[in-house]
Amino acid sequence: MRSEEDLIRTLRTAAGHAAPEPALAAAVAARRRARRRGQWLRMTLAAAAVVLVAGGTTAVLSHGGGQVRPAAETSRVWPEAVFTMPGEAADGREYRPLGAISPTEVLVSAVKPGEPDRLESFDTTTGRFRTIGPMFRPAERHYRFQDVKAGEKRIVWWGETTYTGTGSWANFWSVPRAGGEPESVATVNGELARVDGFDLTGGHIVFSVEQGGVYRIPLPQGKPEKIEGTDGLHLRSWPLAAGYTSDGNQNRVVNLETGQSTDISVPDGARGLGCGAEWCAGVLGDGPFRQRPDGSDRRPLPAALSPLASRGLLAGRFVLARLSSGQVYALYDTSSGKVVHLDGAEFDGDTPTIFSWRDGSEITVVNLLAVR
Amino acid sequence: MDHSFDEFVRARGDALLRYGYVLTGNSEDAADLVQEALARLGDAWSRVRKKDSPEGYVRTTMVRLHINAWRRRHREDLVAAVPERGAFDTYDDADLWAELGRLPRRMRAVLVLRYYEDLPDSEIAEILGISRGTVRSQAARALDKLRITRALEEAR
Repeated sequence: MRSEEDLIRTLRTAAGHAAPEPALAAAVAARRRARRRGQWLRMTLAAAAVVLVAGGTTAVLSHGGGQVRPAAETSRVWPEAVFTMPGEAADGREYRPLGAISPTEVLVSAVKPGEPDRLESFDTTTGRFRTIGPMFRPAERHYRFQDVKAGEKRIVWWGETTYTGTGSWANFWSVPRAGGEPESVATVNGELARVDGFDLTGGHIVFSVEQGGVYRIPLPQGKPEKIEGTDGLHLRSWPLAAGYTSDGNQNRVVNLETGQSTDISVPDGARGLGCGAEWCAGVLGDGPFRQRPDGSDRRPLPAALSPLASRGLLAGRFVLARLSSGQVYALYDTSSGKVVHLDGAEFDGDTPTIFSWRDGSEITVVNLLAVR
Repeated sequence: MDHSFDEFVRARGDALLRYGYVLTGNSEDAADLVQEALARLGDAWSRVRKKDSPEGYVRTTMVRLHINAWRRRHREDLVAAVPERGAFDTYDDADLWAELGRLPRRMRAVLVLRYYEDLPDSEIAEILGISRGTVRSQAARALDKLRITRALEEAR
């Protein structure tokens, strides 16, 4: 056994490993200037991108065999899922990809500081944009868009305040898919504002919260009500919800429409096990692995991958991981076993469906829903 | 007007980076966290300086950002730890550090506040916006996971 003194010593020693940052004051000043210019979403994206680019450089240099261009590499591996789109609208607004709603349709926001974003959809088969409506931004400075979903008739999204303190909240919006004025569906706070899963079904928005439990809100407006029997469950993609062991392995999947619950076989010593319909992925001992939900077909993933603690697999199928060589992200396709590096890619939210690279006046996008 | 703020950043920056490092487990996330918290402190500087301690404000902002909001940005909770530079005195300390990295963020934050910041449970409860009972149970579960016997626990 260890003692509390061991813990104190370990924390103090670790603190000594922190890298000093001589330009800290300048970095803070730059961040405050950016904030004042109202670049609310871009800020966070840029901050993430800098880390990725920095990590990417190291990875590229240490690669030995020529330069890796992640966007190009991705389009070689998944040619059916990669497309390019203009980086700017005709009126000069900057396009930012938000998420995919089908294999051929992605939603983007057209951004101009100081004005509401404009929600548009981009059809990858025709190369055309279509305006859906404005995305009103609350006056709250630390408000951030989180995720968007589309049904047959409506598009819904949610955002939240990121500085929590006591007054944190999240809100849900809805707009006709054909276009129109978005309407606020509901605002939630407290535990309900800690949303960790989001989807749209028929006439309801459905979401789950970090402490467990799945809720629905009727459209066009209403109050959230808890769906019976969902204690401890986390919504993945409607109607599927996931249940976890106390140490964070997914051990069941529940169909909330039929009530059917299926157990997942968790190997002894597994960590971070998360599942899609066909595959699960996690870490066993020092190495990442995948298996079928029933525990069969278990095999190791490439050892260099460090999967991120999962909220399920992306698009039900992809594992988001860091390369153990540093800060670079990679995607592992559980269906094909292929690995794609994401150096410098921008992405948003907890379970992104798209990753993108800005290259001059164009944006290269990979749509996970389009991977065959 | 911001002169005293810049002074604060210069004087306290390194200590905050160390605190960020034990909270997040790596230099990149630590730097990001410190910058964001300091930017917010800077925006609130005149008010905070009059009313509260800037150091307390920025440390509270850091831990709250870290456990409440920033995990939603990108899912940074690595299942398997990425090796970091730097050596520990004993192999067991390195193991313990790696295991700390696998704890849920809030649990780890409770340990950092208690054993690195040396705060009493009542203050930890206030900072994290949870009850003292939750602080105690989170700490107990974390110590169990790390196979640490609780000798000092009784004194709290």
